[in-house]
Amino acid sequence: MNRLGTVKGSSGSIGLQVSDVSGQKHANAKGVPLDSTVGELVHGLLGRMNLPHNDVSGRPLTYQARLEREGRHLHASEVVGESLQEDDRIVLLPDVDAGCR
Amino acid sequence: MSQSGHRYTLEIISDSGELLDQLAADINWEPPAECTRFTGIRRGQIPAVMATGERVVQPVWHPKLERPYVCEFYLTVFGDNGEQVSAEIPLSYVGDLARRASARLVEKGVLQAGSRFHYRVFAVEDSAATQSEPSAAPSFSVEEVPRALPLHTGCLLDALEDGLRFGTMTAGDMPVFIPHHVLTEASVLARQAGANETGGILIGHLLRGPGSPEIFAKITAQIPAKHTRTSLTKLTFTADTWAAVRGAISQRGQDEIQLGWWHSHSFLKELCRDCERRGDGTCTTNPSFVSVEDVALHRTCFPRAFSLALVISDSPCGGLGWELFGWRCGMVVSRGFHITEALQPAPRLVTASIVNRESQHGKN
Repeated sequence: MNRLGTVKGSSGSIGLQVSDVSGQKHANAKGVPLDSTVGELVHGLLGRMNLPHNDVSGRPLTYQARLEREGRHLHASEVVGESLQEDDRIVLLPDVDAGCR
Repeated sequence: MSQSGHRYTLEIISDSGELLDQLAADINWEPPAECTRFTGIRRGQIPAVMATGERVVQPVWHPKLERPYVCEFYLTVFGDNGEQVSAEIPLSYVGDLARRASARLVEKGVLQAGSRFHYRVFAVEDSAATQSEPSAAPSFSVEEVPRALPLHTGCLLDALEDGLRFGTMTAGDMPVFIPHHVLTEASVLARQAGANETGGILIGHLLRGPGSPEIFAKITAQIPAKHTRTSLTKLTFTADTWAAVRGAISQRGQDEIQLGWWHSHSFLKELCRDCERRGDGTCTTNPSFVSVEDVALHRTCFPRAFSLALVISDSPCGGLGWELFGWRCGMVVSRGFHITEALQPAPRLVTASIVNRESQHGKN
């Protein structure tokens, strides 16, 4: 049993508030499965928020999901139902390069 | 939702006119649509709300090559209440796609490195080219939440009176004001970083006067980027960097937003160390530019049309320089700005958060 009172692997879901790194793009994610991982959540959010998946070389960009309530980055392997609560706010923060080559 | 109604094909042509490649042009219309929407907001044509909204793109046929070749694009964005704003997007918007395509041709040996090439675009009508936003993971839905632009009240004329013009001003660009002390702080940090890159975030306010829909940006401070990885030609902003910036903005409690970022290009200090031209003053190398990586960072982290990128260049021949870049027609281009407080004594270097200087360097 997780903190939402839902057995992991069940069909339960939650809603989340999401923003990008600039704080100027906001979205609501609805029906996020409790048994999905944070990595799956982030991957699913990128396209719909028009955030790039890859850098200029085609390598995948790394995004951290920061949980505002706890002020920490969620690990990609964490399970949504175990780490997140209904209406939690998360911010997508990329590791991204500037360069002058 | 975006509507195009056309599929676009990019052709790469050699300097002698030989068709080298033909490929589907997957054009990202979001940046020019964002710029068009912001222009409409600044003209008072649509409400000051940050949202993706609906858009339509039409090809404008080339007067010489004629249909199906395109000389530019005509983009229209719509407000929630039927308002619409249009803009002409130049063909150069697909220049990056063409450069990437040409790079692949160089890799294949079809095009020689450094050789000139041309590109053109043709459009074919295709009703199936109406594009919905890409779907997220099938198991959940994502809905954009429109937000009002965080506008403060201010007088543009007063700001202009206080400002000193710097760089080339282009009609249609949003007026931008940067205090001299912010430029000084960033320059000092760039110098302290030596030949390596360093950077930070520009924070401040968007303002609008009572009698005009025009919007202008006032930078109030720069926050040095902590927790970065840096080298001669690369600066990585990490998730911890952004988290620290958010914390610093919150701590300042001045309702500021991230208006842009700055970083240094000082690699010539290393690369030009033994340059023969250094002594005779004939060096024309200019490190004031935004690289492909810089543009990608800007697009990823600063997608709003008001976002700015300041490059602090430092080279043995050219010395220290400032160049501001911003969005125009969906492209990141050099632009002018106004320096404020230039004639006032510089404040102590503690304004934004000159903190933990060590963390910017030495990790890479």
